[in-house]
Amino acid sequence: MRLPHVWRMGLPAGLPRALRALAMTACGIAVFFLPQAAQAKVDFESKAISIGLEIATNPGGFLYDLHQMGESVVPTRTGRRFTIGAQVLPALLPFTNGNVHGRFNLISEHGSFPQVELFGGVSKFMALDYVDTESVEGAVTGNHYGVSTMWSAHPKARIQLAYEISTLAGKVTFKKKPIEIYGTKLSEIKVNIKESFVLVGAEVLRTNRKYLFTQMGFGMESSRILARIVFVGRAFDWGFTVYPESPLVIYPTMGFRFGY
Amino acid sequence: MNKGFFLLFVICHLALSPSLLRAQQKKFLPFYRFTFGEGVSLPSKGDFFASQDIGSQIGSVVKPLDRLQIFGLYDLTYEGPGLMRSEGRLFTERAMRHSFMLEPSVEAPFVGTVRLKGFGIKENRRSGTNEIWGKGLYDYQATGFSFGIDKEFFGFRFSPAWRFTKMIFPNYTDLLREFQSGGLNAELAGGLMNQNVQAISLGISRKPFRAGASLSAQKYKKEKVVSSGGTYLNENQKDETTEFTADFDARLWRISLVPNGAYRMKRSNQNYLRFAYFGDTNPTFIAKNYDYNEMSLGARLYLHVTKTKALFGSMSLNDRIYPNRAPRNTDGVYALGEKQKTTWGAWGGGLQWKVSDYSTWNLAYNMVYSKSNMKYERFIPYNYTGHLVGLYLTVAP
Repeated sequence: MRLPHVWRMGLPAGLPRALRALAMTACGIAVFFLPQAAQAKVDFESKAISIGLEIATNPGGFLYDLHQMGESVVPTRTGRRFTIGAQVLPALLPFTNGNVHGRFNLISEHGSFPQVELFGGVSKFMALDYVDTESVEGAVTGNHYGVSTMWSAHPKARIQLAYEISTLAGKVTFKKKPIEIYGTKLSEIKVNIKESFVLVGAEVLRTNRKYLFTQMGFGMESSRILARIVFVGRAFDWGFTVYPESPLVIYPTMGFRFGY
Repeated sequence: MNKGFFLLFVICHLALSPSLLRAQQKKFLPFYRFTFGEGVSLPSKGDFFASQDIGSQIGSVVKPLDRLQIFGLYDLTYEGPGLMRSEGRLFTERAMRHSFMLEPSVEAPFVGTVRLKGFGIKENRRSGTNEIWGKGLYDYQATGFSFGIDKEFFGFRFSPAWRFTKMIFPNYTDLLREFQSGGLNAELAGGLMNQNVQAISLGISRKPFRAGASLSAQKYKKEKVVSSGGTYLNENQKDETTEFTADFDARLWRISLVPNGAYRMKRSNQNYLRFAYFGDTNPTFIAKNYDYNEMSLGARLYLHVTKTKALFGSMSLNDRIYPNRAPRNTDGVYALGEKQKTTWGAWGGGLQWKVSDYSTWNLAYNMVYSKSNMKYERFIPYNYTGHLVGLYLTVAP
């Protein structure tokens, strides 16, 4: 649709229509609402301190969030038998959380019976293997496994119901000097978390062989909540993961996988 | 919610459905809806914070017979910190809610569609991450059932219904009891808020108009009415809420308008006794403290730029007056003779983008406001403005 001339006034002609629409919205907001701006306070420093202290109080929980970033999320495509993949951001980079995961399609969807697949994977914080053991010593490793079912709701949409057990365990000792986060000293980090999750999600077709996958998970032991939104490509996936109750709430994600 | 009950509900419903249908030729349809909102809130009081709302509904519709349909649903909703709250709520408050629902409906000749519904809800609240889930004062568990009919008459759809809900608040106690019994028995006084709720409602609709009216009565099982002398009377608390709602969806060329309105009246026989300080021998007594009249108006105006993109503007306005409750000044002293009044809502707009057949994104800005003659804000904010920018996604195959 070509926008009426009066709406295009003052906007660069080369802008795509969606951007033009967005720019007009922003202008409208600026004109009508921002003059009533609140006496709002933006204090990044105190927010950073608050986040840092939350991490220092429960470092194991923070590591568990990172571990979950390396889990297998995207279901095996219809017609494929298995998938192998790894999460790059923000797992391997920058947190050195090496991970590999896979899915095996046990039963393909037929009639009213859903696709049933097994999935699992392992992860390890690799930085601990390369640091000077006289200063820092330890290992933190994780694994996850589960069963997932996929039910076709429409030709372009499948619904997921899955169950997963995810574990992270390990210990890190700071031998020479404890690390200090805003006054809180940590001489060692111990983590031993095992949580079972119920996962519900949906895969909807966007364009040819490209999907949008959304998922919400509930941890049955500690009421942990997570949400994932993944734009699934042919080999690479990107999106974001949200842990609403964690110190760092939202993480952009990128991973890859291949299957047969 | 009990782990076993949850797994039993979901697995039985989904696993049973196909087997029921093998003889009935694929009359099984899974149901899913995902809503996600992630934003940044910038209030005039306190620092900026991230706000989230996430919800998933999963279930299935089974049609074992032509006239019989069974709808089962599990709903997990997380309401994170946020600015757009009802009156008297903290920005940092968060809630997690599990709901289960099973609704068989039958097409009965001459009567219409008869709906029976059984449901269970468990909601936990906490005011921040420093508290533990499951210990909130207003945590509750609700179980209930409802009976309703949908019937068309002269082009109008009438939907009368009756609902019974049993609500349990396992952690609730009240400060007066805690004060009078020195805190020792306060923990044992849990369940004071437990109540049975009965509601009748009538919905009338004819596209594009909808209207509804409901009356609900909350009968408290243990909570007594407090008297001006600081003692409890031999009368249980009883609240009644009457509500009228209406909305419509009008479309002209590329413009669509979705306005809505509601009016609520709450009446309660409960009073309020305020002790200004520990050991206050002359507390302030407010009779019928919880009565209020509330009006809500809202609208969304869409300009459909293309088939998949639309610009929208939105507004909401809520106005609540407590006819018997006086406002308080910054020191907490009642201004007797006046009525507490709060107006709150939001103005905003944004871009809506349908990225696939089943998913819609919204990028929205809202200016949120709340204005009240209640000036005592030591615990709860009543007067503030704020900005909220957020990205919202809905997936509903």
